[in-house]
Amino acid sequence: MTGSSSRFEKPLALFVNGKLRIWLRWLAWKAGRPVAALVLLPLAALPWLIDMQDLNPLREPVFDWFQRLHPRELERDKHNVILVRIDERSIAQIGQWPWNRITLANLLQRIEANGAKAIGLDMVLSEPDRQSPGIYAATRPEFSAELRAALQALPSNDGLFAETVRRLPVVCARSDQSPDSEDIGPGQADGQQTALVIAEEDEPDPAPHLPMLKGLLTNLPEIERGCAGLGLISGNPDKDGVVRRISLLQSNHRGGLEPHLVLELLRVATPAHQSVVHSNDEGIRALEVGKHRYRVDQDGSIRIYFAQNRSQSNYPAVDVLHGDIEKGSFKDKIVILGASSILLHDQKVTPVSNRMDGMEVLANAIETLLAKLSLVRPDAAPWIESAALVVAALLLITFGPRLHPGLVAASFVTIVLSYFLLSYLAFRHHQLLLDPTYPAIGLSMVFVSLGVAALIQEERKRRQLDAQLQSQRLENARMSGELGAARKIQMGILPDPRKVAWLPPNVDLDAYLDPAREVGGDLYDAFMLDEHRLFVIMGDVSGKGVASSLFMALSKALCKSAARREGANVGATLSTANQEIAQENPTGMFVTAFAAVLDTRTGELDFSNAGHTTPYLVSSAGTVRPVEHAGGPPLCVLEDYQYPTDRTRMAADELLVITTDGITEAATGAHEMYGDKRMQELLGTLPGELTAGEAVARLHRDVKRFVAGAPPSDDITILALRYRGPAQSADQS
Amino acid sequence: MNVHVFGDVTVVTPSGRIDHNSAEKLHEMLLPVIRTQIGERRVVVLDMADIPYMSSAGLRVLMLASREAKKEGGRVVIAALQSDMQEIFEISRFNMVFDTFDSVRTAIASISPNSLAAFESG
Repeated sequence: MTGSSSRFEKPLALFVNGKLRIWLRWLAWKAGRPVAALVLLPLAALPWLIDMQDLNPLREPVFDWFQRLHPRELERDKHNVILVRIDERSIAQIGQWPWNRITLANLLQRIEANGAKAIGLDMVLSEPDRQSPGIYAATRPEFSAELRAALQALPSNDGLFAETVRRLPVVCARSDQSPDSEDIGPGQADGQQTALVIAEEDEPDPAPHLPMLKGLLTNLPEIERGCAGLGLISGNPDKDGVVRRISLLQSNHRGGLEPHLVLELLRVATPAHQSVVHSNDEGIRALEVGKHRYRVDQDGSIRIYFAQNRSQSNYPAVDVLHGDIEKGSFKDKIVILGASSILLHDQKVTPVSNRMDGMEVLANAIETLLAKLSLVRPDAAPWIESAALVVAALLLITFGPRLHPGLVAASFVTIVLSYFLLSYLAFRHHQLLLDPTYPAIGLSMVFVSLGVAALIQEERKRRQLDAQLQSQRLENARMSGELGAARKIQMGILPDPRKVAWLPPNVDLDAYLDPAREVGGDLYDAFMLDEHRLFVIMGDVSGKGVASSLFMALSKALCKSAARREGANVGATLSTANQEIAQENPTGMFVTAFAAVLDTRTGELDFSNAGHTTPYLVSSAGTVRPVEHAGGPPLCVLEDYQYPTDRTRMAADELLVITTDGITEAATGAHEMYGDKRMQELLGTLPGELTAGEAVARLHRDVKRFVAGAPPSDDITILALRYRGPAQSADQS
Repeated sequence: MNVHVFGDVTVVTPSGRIDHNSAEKLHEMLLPVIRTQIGERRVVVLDMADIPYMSSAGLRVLMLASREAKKEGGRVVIAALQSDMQEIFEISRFNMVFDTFDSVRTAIASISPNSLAAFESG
């Protein structure tokens, strides 16, 4: 019986049993607003506490996605960089790589002749050319001494190459990925006459903010001396392996500044003597090359805005060498010469492509700078992103619990979508990178927190509704007035004991009936049988509610009719009533009854008890005696039972108190009953001069005080009769 | 509620406080047992040892059980009343309606001495 109610509870209800329920109640406190605000607080402060790029793995992929949605548009005539590739076809026609330096020199001359204003050499020529005549001669012992001497007298290939480089705007590459970094330290760069990059004098030193070179792989000194520029070709991918940025500057072990090939190509193309670094306490602010000023991040890097499919700017080296291209094709362009398309290890992952070679990355970086389209995380980005979260979350916390859940969910989705849309627009039109994922995730957490609170509240409400359902139905019935009307009718049946017709003045009578529900099963009656004799009866129908109230009405009517017929013989009255009521009783109810006839002249009391709780007589001195005799079972239990009559005499000022067991069985919340003993004790304290009405009220008050607000389980009925002594004495007074 | 048969006597042992709310339950359980048992055996002993209290609604169920038994030519007797129940039976004069016994054993002994052996061994 106890299990049936819990069997149908929802899983959540089972889950929230026990101690957890206290926590959940706390979560749902005030519609979950305080908890949601508590969730919001650390989230809002997060951008200043932790590097969000590390914490939030979604941020950079979203920026990458934006680049794929809207890649950098190619501006063919202005800023595009030409790539001259030593590709498979070139190798097939010219011969295996590495080519000798004479061929490379010819290639550089051809590129310059086509109008290039700067040429980047995407390779590090750190070793002498083995095909130089002198070196070659040393490998051939069969050569005659004259031949060897003649060959060794010729200028070296490297010398000739250096000669060519000196005449052309060539920028040579250096690498920080030294194959043997112990041998080749930063000291190798000492040959440089003047620094290629200088820091503004009155500004903080930028070097501590820059990535440091691990080592430096340089070209042959004679080549480096002839170069118009020298730049690093290092590329540092992010932790997820994607190349998004390029460091335009790095610092060497002596605190000097080493420019990237990209920066050097820009400087040579401008042309400018030096690049100038601008920095403040937080890091690098900008790079100044000639008239141009480029905004860079604090670590001297820029974010590349990649274009898709730059293949039309590619030229095979062999075509350039043989003059198979339109003359002046490279006019005013920056050209990069390299072999990276045949070097398989030089494939990078970029936001727009999973396979992009190093030359292509360099070209994208230069084009990004020339077009001033580098992608920027604004300094105010943490403020903007945090504010976006806080404003939306506060709206959700303030209005969410008041609105329809569907509307709240729709608002949430709309806000998240608008984060993404605004972020995309900022990227598309201003190349600003504002993270939509951080406020979206933060807002989701607030949303979930509120949602959980709403769910808990809903569950609690459902439980309360279930519990209230029964009483609500009863309430409805009360509202409709049916029970109220029934109560009025029932109470109307009971006589007003103070207005009993022809009641002699030496008898004081009062009664009180309080049904446990709207209608009850208790009854009492009092009327004069003749001039001197008063008939009183109290009854208690088994059970409660509408059925017993109807049975009570029937019983009262039949008892009255029996009393009229049987007169002073109360035992006969009950016997007759018993037979008659039993005939009208198909449901097996019964009714206990105590009936008495008082001769008001003498105080003689004839009584008969049909299973009713024992009444008491209280003397004016406070002696309490039970009105007891054999009696019989309740009416309707044994059909032919003959109830005996017994007689006692009421002394002057004696009080007769008849109750139903609603008094003795009135119980506290802890099921402790008022009991017969307590009632007798109270009756003993009632003063002899007390009126019947006062006596009824005092007993009722004492019972009420005892149960202390516990709901009544049974009807409470009290009848009190004070006999003021023989009629003569009443007349005399 | 337990039901045991000893020879030609059925002993029914209900339990708990029988107030207005639980009286209906008792009614539903007790009446079918009376109906089936009285058909075969003449007497049902109601063992009241586990009933601490009974309201008038409970007494009504006992009365209905008694009527049901009489209709079939049998009877219900009461055994092992607790002290409060004893008082309730005295006040309501239900001790005039039912034969009451101090214990199940004395009840069986007075009804059917032949069944006593079955009770003592069981």
